[in-house]
Amino acid sequence: MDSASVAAAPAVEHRVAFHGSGGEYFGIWIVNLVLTILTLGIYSAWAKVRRLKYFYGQTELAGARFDYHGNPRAILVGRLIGLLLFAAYTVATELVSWWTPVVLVLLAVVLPWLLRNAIRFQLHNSSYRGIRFAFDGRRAPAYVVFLLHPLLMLVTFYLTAPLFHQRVKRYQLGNARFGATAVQFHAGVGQFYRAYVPVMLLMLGLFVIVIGTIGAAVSGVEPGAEPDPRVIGGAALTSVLVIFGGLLVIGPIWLVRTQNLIWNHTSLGEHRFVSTLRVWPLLWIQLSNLVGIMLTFGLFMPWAAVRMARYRAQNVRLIAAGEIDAFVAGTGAEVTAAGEETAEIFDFDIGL
Amino acid sequence: MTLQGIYYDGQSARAHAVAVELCDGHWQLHGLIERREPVGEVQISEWLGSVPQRLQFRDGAYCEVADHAGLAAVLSAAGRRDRSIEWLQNSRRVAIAAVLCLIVAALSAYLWGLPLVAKLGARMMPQRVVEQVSSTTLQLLDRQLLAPSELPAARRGRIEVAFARLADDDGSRLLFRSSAHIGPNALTLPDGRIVLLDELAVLAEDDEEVLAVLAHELGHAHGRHGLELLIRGALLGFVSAWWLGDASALLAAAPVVLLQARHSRELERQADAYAVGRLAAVGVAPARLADVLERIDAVERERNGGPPAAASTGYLDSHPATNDRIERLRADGSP
Repeated sequence: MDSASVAAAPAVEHRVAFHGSGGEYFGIWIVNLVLTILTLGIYSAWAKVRRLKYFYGQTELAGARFDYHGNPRAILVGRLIGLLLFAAYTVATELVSWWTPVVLVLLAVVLPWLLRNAIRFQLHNSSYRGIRFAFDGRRAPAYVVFLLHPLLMLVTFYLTAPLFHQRVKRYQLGNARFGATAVQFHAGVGQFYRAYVPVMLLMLGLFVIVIGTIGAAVSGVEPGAEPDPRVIGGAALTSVLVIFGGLLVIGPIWLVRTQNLIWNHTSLGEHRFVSTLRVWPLLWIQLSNLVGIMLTFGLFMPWAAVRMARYRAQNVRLIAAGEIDAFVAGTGAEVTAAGEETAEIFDFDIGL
Repeated sequence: MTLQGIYYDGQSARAHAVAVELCDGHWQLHGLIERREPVGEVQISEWLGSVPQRLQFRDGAYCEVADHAGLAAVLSAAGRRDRSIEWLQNSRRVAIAAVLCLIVAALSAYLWGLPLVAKLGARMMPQRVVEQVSSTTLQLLDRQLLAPSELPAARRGRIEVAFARLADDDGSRLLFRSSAHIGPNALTLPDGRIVLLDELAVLAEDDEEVLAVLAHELGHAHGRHGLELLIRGALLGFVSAWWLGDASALLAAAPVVLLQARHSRELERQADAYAVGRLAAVGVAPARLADVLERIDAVERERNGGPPAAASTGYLDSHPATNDRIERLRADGSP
């Protein structure tokens, strides 16, 4: 990139726009669904490519659309492997035997590698203005991010969840590039903890309310006496409703705070991003989507997906410090070609 | 006919406005870029709603065309047709047909597919797995809900002898427990072991009534109903999570509870029918099952303080419409 011309150009703001409509997506969605059922799930890989091609293709930035190039066969292989691993995990943990630890160790070795390949697959198969995204993350750090940090989270009762989230994003975005231009990610662990404070406090509050409800019901029982099933049942139902309602509100708060943090600290060369998601509109979209889906036994789902995609797209802007036209493809033709090929053979999507 | 297009060369992000033409079997781009390629060398992306279509070149370059109708006209003028999947996705009629297809498929899967798969699955489940599941369940029940039986040994002996005659050596076994939590009842484990609770033996007027309930439980054991319910629950949970899981996990759990209730009513009816046959073979009137059911129902009502069974609509209750069962058993003994 010519740095002189970049420095001279004034900053231009480009909004992301989503042009999809629920009715239009419904046609794609319902055909995908019926074909998936008729083929006992095999078509789901092709369905995923169509769905992503639609959502990427309807997302516009500075006059151009995104595109998705995933190979359905690679996705199908990935899904079969994922299903196999899930079956192995279920059998190993349900029927505990000498081979349970063997399977668990095998999964611990394979999963970080799979997750790295999934990130690679997703980025390599995304493009904008004919230039592919790419991922250069190495294998060793994947084990730190996807194995050590989850284990750390387990022993610290999820107190290190913000740290884990930051490490995942640093690995995913910090190793990404658009053609020859690297993506930079510069949100620190402290910023993630700050974003998580209200979320964690709300989760704690929810936990206290649930424990309190059940505790009150149980402590009302005389020692030695039989608990009244109506009181216990009522407390259980209240707890479930409180958890459901609580997560319904905490979900959008978490999404807004983390998405804004992540986008506001991501840049692409000289260009940076601004994200302006807000809690109330997102909460409204999620609640009304939920009601719509319930009332229509799920047929509202395409409209729900489009509404969500539109709101999220509308609230991301690119602050371009110069010409967007100036991006160029990968550093060398042979690197891109080799990258593509490995992406075809060894990379598969496991549905992140 | 000339179309408007935007050309990207695949090497830089620069957009080039071009005019697109199809003539003499070649795509031709004019404007800031001049390019000419044989039709066979250029792939056209499928029509996905209003997403601009692409003329994709072999070297990674492409030309975006937003005018779908224009492109379709140019293609058909050159004697080229749309692909079938595009027709599928864009036809309103196909979408409506797909919705109907989906509803029919879902209903028939629920009404016929699910019971069939559950029945086959229950029959084909390896004995080792069945036993392990049963033993784990019994351990859990013993720890939390059940206590050892306090029935006099003589009565237990009488019931065991009568049970052996009733079961006719089909491999079923009888266990004695007591439980203040559950009340007068008997349970059947997936592997066919039947647990008789003291509370039922005490509530029953005589051993014939106990036998009547055990015959009903034998019906469950014989039909492997426990396993069937287990498999149905797992399948319903899987489908429901796949269908609604994106929206909400709890939302996905609700249909499983609702849909299971109807099947368990059907299984109660089957077990009653089996009981009538077995009871006749050992010379006990089916009406005795009705008598004891009535008594259990009265105790249950008192414990729960709920409405009488006759008023229950029975959509959420797993032992619903007891009155209906009682009437059937009394009517002629053949449900």
